[in-house]
Amino acid sequence: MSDAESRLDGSEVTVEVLTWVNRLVGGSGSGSVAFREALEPDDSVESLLRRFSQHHPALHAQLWERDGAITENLHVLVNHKMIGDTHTLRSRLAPGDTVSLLGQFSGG
Amino acid sequence: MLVTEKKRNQPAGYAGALLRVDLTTGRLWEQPIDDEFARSYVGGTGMGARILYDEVGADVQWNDPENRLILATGPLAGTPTWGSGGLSVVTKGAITGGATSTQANGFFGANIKSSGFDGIVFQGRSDQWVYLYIHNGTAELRDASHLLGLDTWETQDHLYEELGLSGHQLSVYSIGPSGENLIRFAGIQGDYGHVASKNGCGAVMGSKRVKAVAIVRGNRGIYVADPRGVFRTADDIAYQMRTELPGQNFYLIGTLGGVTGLAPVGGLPIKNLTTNILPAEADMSKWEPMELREGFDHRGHQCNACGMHHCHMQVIRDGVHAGDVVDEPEYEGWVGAGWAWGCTDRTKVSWMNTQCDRAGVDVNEFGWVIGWVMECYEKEYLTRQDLGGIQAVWGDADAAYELLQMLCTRQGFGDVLAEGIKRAAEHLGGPAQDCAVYTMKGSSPRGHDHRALWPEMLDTCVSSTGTLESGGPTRPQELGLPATLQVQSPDDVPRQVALTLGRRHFEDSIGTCFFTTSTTIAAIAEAVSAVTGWNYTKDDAMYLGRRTAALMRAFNLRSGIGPELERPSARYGSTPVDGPAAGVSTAPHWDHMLDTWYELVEYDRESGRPLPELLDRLALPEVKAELWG
Repeated sequence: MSDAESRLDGSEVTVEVLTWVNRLVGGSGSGSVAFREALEPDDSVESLLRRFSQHHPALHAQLWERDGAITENLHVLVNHKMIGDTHTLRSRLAPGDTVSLLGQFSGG
Repeated sequence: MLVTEKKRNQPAGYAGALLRVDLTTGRLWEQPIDDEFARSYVGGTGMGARILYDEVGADVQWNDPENRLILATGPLAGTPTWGSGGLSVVTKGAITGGATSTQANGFFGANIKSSGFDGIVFQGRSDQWVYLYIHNGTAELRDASHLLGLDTWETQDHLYEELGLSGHQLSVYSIGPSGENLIRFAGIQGDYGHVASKNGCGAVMGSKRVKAVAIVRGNRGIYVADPRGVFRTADDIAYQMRTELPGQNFYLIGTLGGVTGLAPVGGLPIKNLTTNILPAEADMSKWEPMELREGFDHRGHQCNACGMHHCHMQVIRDGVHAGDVVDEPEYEGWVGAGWAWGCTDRTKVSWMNTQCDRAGVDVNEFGWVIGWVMECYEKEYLTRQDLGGIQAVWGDADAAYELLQMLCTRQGFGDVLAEGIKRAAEHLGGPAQDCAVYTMKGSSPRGHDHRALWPEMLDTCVSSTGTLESGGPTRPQELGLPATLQVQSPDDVPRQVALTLGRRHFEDSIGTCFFTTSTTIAAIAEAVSAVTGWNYTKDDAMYLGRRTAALMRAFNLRSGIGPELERPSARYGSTPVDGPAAGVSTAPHWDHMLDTWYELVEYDRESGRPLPELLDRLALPEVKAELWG
């Protein structure tokens, strides 16, 4: 459990930004950078990420397409499962959940 | 050198001729490329597909003299566009017995074009081992008996010395011992670390007794239609690569992000897909991209005109191979030369990756073969005696290297392994066969665990090229797809694979590297327009790519490869037992995904044939006549 997770109160989730993506939130571009984020009523994965990215302009610029969709360049995971497995972007989050952002990778 | 004046009747952007080589008779001649052929098939894979379809009949086997081996580049080769040394290899491959499209870079494309050719078409079989020497519009077959047994790097070293040239002055693509011994997953390696590795194209080259192709960087200028436009579009693409995802990531670190990027989603293959739990001994902080790069003394090893921080050379710092120069593995090298069989020692993996390149084998297939052997050894399906005394325990790099030597020389059980993972597994049969990772067409996946990444599993299985045919979803919105595609959705996955079909074929036809064109198709098409003077649009690019796909599909059907083979092996299609993708499976959705894919690509679900209406739109009446009467 990360420091951020260990300090969660009853209405927070963890947003972790992994590998090169965390350069966009002030990280080194490797490992994990974790944030606590307060849940609001009826928060979905998508609404939480919209609010979160407002605080991180570089991430915000890369995360959202012009049509409002999440970019194809990142994977979103909830509780370490890819979107589409246990959650969709519209799924409600529960206190203690972990939302992860990870760079898409193919080829090579 | 770009020129603004035509020196002969050649289409802009092209040298204007293919070099034809009949190895049986020793005859070499020029086949002119006219505007119609260039515009219809572009270059590289597109031209190769057309020649393969036209000239290789149903009864020709991969190792028959009548097979063709096409090494070609495209209109952007030799221009300022990044990565413009592109090589596409097209042939009837040794693994699937069907069409092959596999790429490498370095300086092949730039050198051959400046020497007066857009590609080489080999046919026949030489009595003696030869290499092809090309220099400023001249070409000759030379004795290669002194090169036999040399690995690919030694071959290049030897030809540098023999010809008195080095570096960018001479591009050398050769086969190693694996190609000489017709190992079914032998590739063609060039310019120290670039490998056209798929579908046994190196075995085809070996069957023709061609050890190498050596191309001097000539002094012939490349006539382009719009020189200012060529520089502008090259700069535009470079700017997009530097500043926008997904290209920016490749620009900064190449493919080094793969290991740490794929592990959290269950996409990193570990120990022959037996687990997705990272081993305790693996310090993942050492696998972060910059840690991988800085963990070795390194320097850039860029391809023609490339500004990416992608290809690098390394020096091994410690251990028994300290001081050895190796090429920095691509992501798939880190997997095939290590993770796939349980080795997570960076130094050992890096060294092993280069040994695969030097031997001339496809590192992906190597990884699946060694992983399978080690699993079979653990489960006692294979014994030490079977393996000639080798104790093939998980992660043992020394054992893996011994197995590499054994299979490259076809000694003992190496003769079975040399046939590739599918045939080796079928040879043993029973529960051992169930452990092997392959498609029923015979190919094996690239170094990803596709059980978490369904688009690549579907793509690998339906492909007509011996490897991924559609590739990753670069800028999917440009093709009418949503930005957010779920990679474990039975509805999204076939849409993604189907609607991106053609893009990769176009990229592989223009003479560049697809990593350097990880931007919009519109931008790529604009660059091709500036070179050729023809107004290519995004839709034109996709149309031409789909035409190539249809030709390859028709060729495979002619070769007896149809929809009945479009599924993964038991292990490849299995359900992950642990890790991030535990419990998810393509199996319940496979038929649905195939149904959707077939509908969207407009191929007949039952027979696999491109539908007549599609072939009409693609202006392929002869293919329609062959397939539909």
